[in-house]
Amino acid sequence: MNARELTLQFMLQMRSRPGRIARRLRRRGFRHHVRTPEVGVVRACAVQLEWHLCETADEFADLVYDQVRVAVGEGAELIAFPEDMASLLVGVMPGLGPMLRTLTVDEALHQIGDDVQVADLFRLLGRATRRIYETTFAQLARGYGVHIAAGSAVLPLKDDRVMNIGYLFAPDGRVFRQPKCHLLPLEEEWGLVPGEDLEVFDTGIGRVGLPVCMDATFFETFRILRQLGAEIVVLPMADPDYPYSPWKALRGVWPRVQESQVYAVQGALVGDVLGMHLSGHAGIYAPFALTERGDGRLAVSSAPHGDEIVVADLDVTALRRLREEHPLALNPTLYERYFPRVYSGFWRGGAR
Amino acid sequence: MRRTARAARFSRSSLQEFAEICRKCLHGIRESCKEGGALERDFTVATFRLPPFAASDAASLGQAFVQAAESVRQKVDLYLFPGLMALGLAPGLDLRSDAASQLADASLKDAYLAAGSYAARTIGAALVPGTVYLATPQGRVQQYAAVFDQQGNLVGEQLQTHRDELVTAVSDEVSPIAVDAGVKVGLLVGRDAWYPEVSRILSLQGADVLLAPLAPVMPYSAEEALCGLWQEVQQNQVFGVEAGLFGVLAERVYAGRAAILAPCEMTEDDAGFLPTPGYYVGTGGRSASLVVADLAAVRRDYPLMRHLNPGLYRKYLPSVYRRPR
Repeated sequence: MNARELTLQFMLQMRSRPGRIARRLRRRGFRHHVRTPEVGVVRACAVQLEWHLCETADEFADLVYDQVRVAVGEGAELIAFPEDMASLLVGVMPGLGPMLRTLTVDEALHQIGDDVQVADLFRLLGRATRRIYETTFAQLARGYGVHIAAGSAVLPLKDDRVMNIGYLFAPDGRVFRQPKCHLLPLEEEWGLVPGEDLEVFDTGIGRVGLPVCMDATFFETFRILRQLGAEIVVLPMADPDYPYSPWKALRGVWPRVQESQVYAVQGALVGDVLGMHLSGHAGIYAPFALTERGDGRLAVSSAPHGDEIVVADLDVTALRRLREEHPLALNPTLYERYFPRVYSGFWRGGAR
Repeated sequence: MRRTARAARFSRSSLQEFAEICRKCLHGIRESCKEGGALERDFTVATFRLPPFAASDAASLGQAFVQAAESVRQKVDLYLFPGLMALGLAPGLDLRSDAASQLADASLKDAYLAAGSYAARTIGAALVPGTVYLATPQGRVQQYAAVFDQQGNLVGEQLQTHRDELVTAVSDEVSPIAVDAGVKVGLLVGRDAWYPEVSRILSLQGADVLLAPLAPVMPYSAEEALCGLWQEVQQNQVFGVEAGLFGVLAERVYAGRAAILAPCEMTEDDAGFLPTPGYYVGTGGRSASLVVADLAAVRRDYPLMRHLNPGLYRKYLPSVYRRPR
């Protein structure tokens, strides 16, 4: 590492000091909303957030704090933020914030260096981003006594691979992580790699899966999670398909909930992000039979743009009853016969 | 007159012999199309939303298929009829109780096959004459569908692979069916259209057109319909054809609709329907051309299947299905 890089890393460390973030959040206070939770019912809140660049840790912490405070005011026990929440923090890199206000991310990277890729930016910023992101959400989860699914963060691993990682912060200090397993073509271009594991986490609000956005395009994700015991799936989203298409939006979380009999809580990042236009609805989804209108939607934001928070109760007891009364008629013998072959064939480029 | 005379030559005694010939023919075809390419040429399909035919025998059922097909003006390569169309041959059938014993007569399947074969060769196009319930020797119910080529040869058959409230005996096999050179279809029988595993298996084996001859019972749910074949078309980037039975049959009320489906990216308003948006709720048929170049363009511009994660699936599938829950 040369002197210039050392200086940069020092500046980033100074800008991401956890103690400073924690103190700031404590000063703002954690006033609990008094609500007696119903047994077997989880009140969930999905956040739809218009992207904007944060140039300081304080700015990010304040933004997240404001969302959490509103959600807690609604009695939420689970708060779900959008995918790529940590992208708001690229502005903490000295000099990059002003550049990104006028240039695309590619143009900005070109100004930094000819062969600099997006993944390099995430590597460079990784340590500082992680500190700000994790400290902010962990403090808020603990302070308010709620579970916060913090959306996702693109972060470097110890082996230098870069992944898009979903996060859930529990009020007892536990942190659950789930790498995104199906990447957007754009993420692949950026140099990210997909995860190859799915987990279901035992939390204070039930058994939770944490896939990320594109993972819901593939039925396999939800089927695996359901079979591993998931009852609630939190799915942060940042959809670059623009303009918004209600039909294309039907290809994600909504059918997956029906196929696998789970609840889903989806936060959505919207607006102009580093040269892309994001759109989509924050929403809370359930099997048809557990929704008032029979349409599988418990709460959906009013528009695919702008800030909004939606709230709904997830009746886990009713979900378990539904599964008992209407079990999925899966056919494992069929899958055992074909899956190894068709997936292997595809892997070898056999199908298309 | 010519068709009526030909239809009249069917007799109950010859049906079993005919069915046996069909089965032998099928075996040869199946062996020859186990592997191979996907959709290689444009292909025109017609689908129907129909009430049950009031047919008294195989001949009149075959005639009814022909008449319905002739109402479609476009030249068509494959006709798909709704599920359970052949059950009209079993008057007095009441599916609300003890369906298996009422379906035990094997001649129902033979009549279904004879009518389908007759209609296909008369029209000169491939044809799926809906589905039919069958009873197993153990007293359980299956749902069965067959595909005929334009000469009336049985080129493929498929049993339902996932149970429902009536179908209690299911198959553990599902394979694409070659209906013509360069065209492989997959049959989704009954509830199979709502189990994405079936469509994935079929499409990864090269079926680029999924066919769903359906008979959904009342009440109709638009949302549930969109979670069936429409989803399978989108998540596999293939074409889909759905036919729907409506009206009263065997003491049940059906509320099917019809649709020809494609990936959102290649249809008007992104809706995923050909030739016009939405499910068809009129009576009769509609047709559309499935353009192979359009499908290839969608796959090129949005290479969804490239982002499947076989490493992940190998770790969990299929073992996770046996996991106690």
